[in-house]
Amino acid sequence: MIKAEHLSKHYRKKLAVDDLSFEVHPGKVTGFLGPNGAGKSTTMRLMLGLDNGVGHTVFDDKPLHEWAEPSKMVGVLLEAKAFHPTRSSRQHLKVLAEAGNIPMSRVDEVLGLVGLTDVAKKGPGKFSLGMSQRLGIAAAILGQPKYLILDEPANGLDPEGIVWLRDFLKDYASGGNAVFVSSHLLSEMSQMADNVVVIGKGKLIADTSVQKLLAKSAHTGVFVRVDGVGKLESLLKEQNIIFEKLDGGLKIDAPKTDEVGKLAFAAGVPVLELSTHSASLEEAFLEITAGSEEFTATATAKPKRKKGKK
Amino acid sequence: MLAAIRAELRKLLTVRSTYFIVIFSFIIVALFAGYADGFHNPQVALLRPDLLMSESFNAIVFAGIILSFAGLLLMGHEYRYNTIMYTLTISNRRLKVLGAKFIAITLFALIVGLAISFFSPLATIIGAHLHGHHIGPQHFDVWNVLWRCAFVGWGYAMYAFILIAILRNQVGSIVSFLLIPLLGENIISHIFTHTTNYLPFTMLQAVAEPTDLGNHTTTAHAVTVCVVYVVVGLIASTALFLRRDAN
Repeated sequence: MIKAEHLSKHYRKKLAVDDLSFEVHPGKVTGFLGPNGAGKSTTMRLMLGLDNGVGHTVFDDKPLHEWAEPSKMVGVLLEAKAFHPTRSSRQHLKVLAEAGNIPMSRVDEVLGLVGLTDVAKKGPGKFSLGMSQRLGIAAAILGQPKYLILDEPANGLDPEGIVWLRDFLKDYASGGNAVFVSSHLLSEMSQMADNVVVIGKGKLIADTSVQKLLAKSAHTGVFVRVDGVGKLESLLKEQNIIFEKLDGGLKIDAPKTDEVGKLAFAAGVPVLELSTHSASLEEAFLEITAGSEEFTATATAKPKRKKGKK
Repeated sequence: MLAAIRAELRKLLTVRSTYFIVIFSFIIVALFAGYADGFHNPQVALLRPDLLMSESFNAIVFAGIILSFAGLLLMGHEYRYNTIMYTLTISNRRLKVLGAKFIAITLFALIVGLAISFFSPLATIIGAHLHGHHIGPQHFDVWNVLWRCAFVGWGYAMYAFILIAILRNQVGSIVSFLLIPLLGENIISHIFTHTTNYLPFTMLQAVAEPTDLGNHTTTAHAVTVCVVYVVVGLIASTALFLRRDAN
């Protein structure tokens, strides 16, 4: 298990990470979410001992650098383009294998695994972002580590690559390993992650399972469409049940459809449609991180029309 | 530690810049020692008994600076391309990373530096023979050439290594490395004539110019000054490397 405890980091007067504690469990993919500038990358760097800060992180009860061969404990992808542009992909991985006491035979294995065998002799300087990510993932899994810490690994991947990454990470975690992965692709994260750690302005907002996060969301409830919505609204108000009008029906803050069915029966209105309404991870994320964005757009972008031209 | 050293050597030998620097150094030395001092020199100049020894010393002073760029780039690329994050994550000690780089750069500087030092007189001999001239009887003290050239080559490499380890900026380090000896020390030596005995690059050159030590400088003094600069620089760069964020 990875256990991060009381991580904090200042950049001059700015507090980038504020007393952050969470756990990453084996056998699970843990998503790391937060708005831009929330401190996700800094947190990962703190966990790995790359940045100086307060707090500590243990990997199976020991800090990373107390392990004799750290690359067999943690595989890391922090930046897609972190390689020498003219050193070939194979040599790039061989350097890492050499430093980590990893057999050289693993180099060609991982190149094949990420689909870069054909370009193994080429310098990655002209690689697309997606290919660079694949090389970064190859480097991360080179030592067959117990833990993976990946910062935005899906950035720039094509749809096939995203599906591959999702399946790969889920499979990797199912083997008893732990995957800690940050991503802005929330739809992707909802399919991939078992747990999520959500931060905003460096502070922990949520450390829970995806299911619990979605269940807690105000967007989760029961949707009902009835003939005679006014009667049902009156009954809901009488019983102080929270609801909102949605798509010609009502979204009611109730955990089960059974209860809403009974309410409609009690109100004497025929039910036309009754279903659970699950919040998306995006809705839940926006809800819990509201107000903790470091950078927000102030207006929608509209194309400006130049005067005097049609 | 051995794994880290092997990785650093692999880094050094798998980038084009290393080969470019080495080939460039040999070409420049071939031009100066082979053409200018061998082929183009009048016969009378080729009769100097210390000609070949001075060719070795001249070559290491000049090529030492160029070769140092390979070491500087070994560290500089880590910061420029952010690979230092992975280098530090793979290793369980930052000191081990720095130590491995130090050893790799030292090995490179010694091997290539000495090769250049012995190539230079060879180029002069070949140049002279191609022009139909002959070299006069020579006093060539192999051990003297060996230790002085090794020390000067290593010294330049260490200065470059210290600069990049402290500045962590490739362009800034290259500019500083060129400006300090060419401009900085020249200006200081014109203003304060006595301080030249304590300037790092001036003293390093003095080690390679045993017949031309002015200002009552001895070889021992020049070596001591250089070693003090290297030791202090290494202590400072190590302290910073261990304490600062990775990049």
